[in-house]
Amino acid sequence: MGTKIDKRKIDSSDSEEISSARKVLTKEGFPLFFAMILTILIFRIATESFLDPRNIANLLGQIAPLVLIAVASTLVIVMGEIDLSLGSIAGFSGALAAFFIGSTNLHWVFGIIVTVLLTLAIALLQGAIVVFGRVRSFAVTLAGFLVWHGVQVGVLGNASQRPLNRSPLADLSITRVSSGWVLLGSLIYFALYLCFFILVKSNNSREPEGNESSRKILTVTRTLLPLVALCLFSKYLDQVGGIPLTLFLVLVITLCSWFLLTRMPIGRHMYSIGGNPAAARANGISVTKVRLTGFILTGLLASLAGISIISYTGGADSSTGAGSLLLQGIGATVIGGVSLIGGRGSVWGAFGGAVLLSAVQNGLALLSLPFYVIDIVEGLVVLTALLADALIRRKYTFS
Amino acid sequence: MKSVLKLENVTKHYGTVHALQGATLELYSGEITALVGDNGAGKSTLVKVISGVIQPTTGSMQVQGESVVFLNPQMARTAGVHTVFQDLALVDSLTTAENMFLGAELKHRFLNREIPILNRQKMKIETIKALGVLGITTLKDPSTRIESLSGGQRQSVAIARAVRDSAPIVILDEPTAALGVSQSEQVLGLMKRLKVSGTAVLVVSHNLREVFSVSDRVIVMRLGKIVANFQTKDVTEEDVVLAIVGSARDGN
Repeated sequence: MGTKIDKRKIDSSDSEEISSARKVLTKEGFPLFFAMILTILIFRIATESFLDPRNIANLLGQIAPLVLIAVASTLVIVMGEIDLSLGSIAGFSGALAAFFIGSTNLHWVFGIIVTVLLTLAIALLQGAIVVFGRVRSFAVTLAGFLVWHGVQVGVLGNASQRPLNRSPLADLSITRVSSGWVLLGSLIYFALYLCFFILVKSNNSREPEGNESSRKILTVTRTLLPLVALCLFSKYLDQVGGIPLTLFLVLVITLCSWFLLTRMPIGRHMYSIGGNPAAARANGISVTKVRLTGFILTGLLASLAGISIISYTGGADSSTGAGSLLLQGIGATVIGGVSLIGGRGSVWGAFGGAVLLSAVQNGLALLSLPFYVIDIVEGLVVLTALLADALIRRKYTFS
Repeated sequence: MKSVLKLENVTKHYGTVHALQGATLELYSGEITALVGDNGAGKSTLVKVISGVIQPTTGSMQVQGESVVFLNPQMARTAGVHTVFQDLALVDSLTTAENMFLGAELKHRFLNREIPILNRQKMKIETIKALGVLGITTLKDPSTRIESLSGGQRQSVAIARAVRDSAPIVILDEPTAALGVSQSEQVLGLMKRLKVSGTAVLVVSHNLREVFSVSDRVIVMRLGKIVANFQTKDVTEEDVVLAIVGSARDGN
């Protein structure tokens, strides 16, 4: 303790003039950004087709399950918990949805709703065991990992697979959104944002004199830029039909998760529970309620992940979801700079991590490398991300 | 001076261990009371009882003339007793402003109703204001994460949070124990400003030099009992030390 404080004392003198290099390097997401550029460069040089619109659309059309599991992982990990059952819950959810949609007369939308509701019950059960039973989430969800995979195989029945039988759900994953629709969606989002900005934000906070208008312009620009980027990107993919609808959907889901985590009290409470549970409790935060909510939201995302898998594969089998999806999801989260100890990280990091992992997979597949090499490289990418993060932090921060 | 907190005959037993034996004390607004004593004298137990972390075995407590029973720290806070513990209860990975309003976030309003969306700008402005009132000038950016603050700055944030809602009673548990000389001075200055604003301050400390520089009264504990209650100006450090170790000249 003593040496730690002493070091702080030395550093505190210059803490107000943090060097800009340190600011950039310690920014969450910097290692990810760097790795992304590197990956694109390497595969652009090594393969002809990596940056082809066709390949990019193909790559992004497959990332929905991984993104959803990574975002779900982020929600539990920032609370200082872990959910090892996410892959199995996704698999169970996929099997259940395939059963309802492919093997009963239920309309596919109702099939999805019933599936999601049942999955939420499971998530609630697991969360309740962790919170009320005071069992480590590691142990509970490890058990869940096995149990829900068992249930998944049970739901699949003797044939051990259930096809979707040409349900509209199967078309979802091949639907593309052309740039016109993306532009319209972006405009609607921006209009909603402006309404919120004018009706709520500017009425609620008096700015200190002077920098009011410059700050407003900055805030609006920060919202506008990603939208412009998205529109240009979809324009680029127009020649192959536009961006995959599922990418669009997971972008919206990630956006909602980001809003919940950073702009709503419950999100900040989730971070505080992961960062310092005693402090959260001392400040009157209902730790029980927040953790339960976190587990339920995680279950919801895992369920959607399962449904997005069967939409892509046209049906469920025993390998849907399961362990490899879970491990990739946690890997993507870690690559995205989410700390496994809890309390820090963002869903956009997890999103980026998922895209990076998928890009590496895709690039290696384009090089026609055998599967085992892909696994090895993926593992190394996760390890490198962790090492880079640890090194940068050790060098530039003092806690 | 107005009495804002009154403890009568408070005891706390852990099985056969009598951590607190009949503690009686009063805190007054606009006064700094120091609580001193050797390790194991019962200071922490007393502080935990007052702040609602533990419940006394027997005895009664009054805050501003009303009888109270604190079943948890939240109840104590609501009644106006704000405690800054040694571990500060700050979340390192959140910003200064987020920590200031942790558990009591300011929200946006829409059509005159609160909606569960954080009013981050207002929280930042209020944080700067609250720090300014206490004369804390070393913290300029409320978006700084706690982990990159110095020990003194952290202590300042914790104290500022405790008095955010102008608490009538503030309890500080060893606020300078982990700080260097200049940072300790900052915190002592902060305590004096709290006193001027009419807050009743109870500070647990091992550092008698500091106790003599800020406190109006010194309460000495030994073996679970309050053994002395001095007016600081009437005694010397030696008197206090003697009371702590249990030799002659116990106070009134």
